Amino acid sequence: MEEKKLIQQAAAGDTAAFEALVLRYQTQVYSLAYRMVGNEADAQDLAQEAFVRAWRALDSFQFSSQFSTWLYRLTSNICIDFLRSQKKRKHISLTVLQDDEQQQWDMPDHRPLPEEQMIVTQEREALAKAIAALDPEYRQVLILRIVNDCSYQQISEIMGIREGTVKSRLSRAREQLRKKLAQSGNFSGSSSSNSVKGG
Amino acid sequence: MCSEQMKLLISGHLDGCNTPKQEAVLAAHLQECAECRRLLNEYEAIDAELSEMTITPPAGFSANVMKAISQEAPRPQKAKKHSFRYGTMIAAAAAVLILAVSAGHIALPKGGATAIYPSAVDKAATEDSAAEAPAEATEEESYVMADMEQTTLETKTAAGNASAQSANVDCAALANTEGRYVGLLYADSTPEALKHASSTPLSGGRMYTISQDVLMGLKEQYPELELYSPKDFAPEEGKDAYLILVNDPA
Repeated sequence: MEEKKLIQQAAAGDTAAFEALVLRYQTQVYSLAYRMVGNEADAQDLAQEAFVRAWRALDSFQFSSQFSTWLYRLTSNICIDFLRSQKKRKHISLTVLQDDEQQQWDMPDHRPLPEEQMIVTQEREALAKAIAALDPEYRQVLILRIVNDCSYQQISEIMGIREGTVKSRLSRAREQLRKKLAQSGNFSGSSSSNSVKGG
Repeated sequence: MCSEQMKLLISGHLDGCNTPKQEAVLAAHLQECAECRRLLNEYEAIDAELSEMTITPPAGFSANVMKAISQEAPRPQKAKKHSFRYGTMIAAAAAVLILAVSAGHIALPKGGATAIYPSAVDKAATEDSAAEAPAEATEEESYVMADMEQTTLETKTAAGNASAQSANVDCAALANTEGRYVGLLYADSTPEALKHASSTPLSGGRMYTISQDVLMGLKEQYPELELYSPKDFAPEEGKDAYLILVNDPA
């Protein structure tokens, strides 16, 4: 069924229509949450919370942006709130220099489950760790662009920043990720073969 | 060492978001710079891995979501509550601007307060039930007007100049009400800084969801704008700030 119709029906209280939307977007929403917070248990809770909030607010959705943009924005905000709340209880503080300004960022507690470690490749694991160690804003912009395949315009709407800022932030995010992989010995760094290596 | 500018172009190239001119500059540079060629290859390799990092949710995820949904209160009650607050905020924003105008701090361009207030409040009345809106809006106005007195006093020096401005000066006022920032902007056209902010149409205007970055961008890109905002403007995550653009009625 056409997405707009599903949204309208769900906004009118049709739970079957909303379930169709959940099934359509659950992988992207869950992936976004998982990559933002770095573990399955929290990702499940946060992705579910995103859908519940979407359900509550669906009747206010005006179709002025894409539904996916709206949904990812909800999810992103929930994840960022979560990361900030975690800061108060347990956190690993990381100090970085950016734009001549010292800022504090939080790194999520990365706790992959044993069974996940068995099924993901070493490359993916190394990359996942490096992503989890990125500044949250860089992590968010990279995940939205590459994992969720959002356009610059969508990211601009989701993060509330200009498209020019999206572009520069993505550039910095790629560079930070590359450096983290190189520093941990998980990147070949050669010109002939540049695959991400397992740690 | 590759320059930041080249890294920006390499990243933009991977996203397909460079202009033709930028692509030409990058191509010429890559011909000469082995380090940037290597960087491009490395970014490509990382992107390729990242693009395959979507994760299938665990079995039963959608069922759990629907179970949680089924425990939610019926939607009509939720919708009524939401739209009421939405309308109240718009009325509050109108009150903010009217206070500043009536206090002589802001000289409104063309139309004046009476041209602005009805369109904003019309929308509030549309969103709210006809019976509830007037009484609640009045109460909210009183609250906001009291709250805004300090803000307008704080900006009095700067605002004093506004009344002497010509009739074409655009202006905006922002207030903190119930922990949310809400305000009105009067401008003949949409400022560049707002063009990419998410928004919803209103009758006689448009409501933008803004961050501090957007507000700063607004001030930067729109130097003639007279902007009155609380000194502590810092919207919390999950609590959006709203700016209502009132279009020129002419």
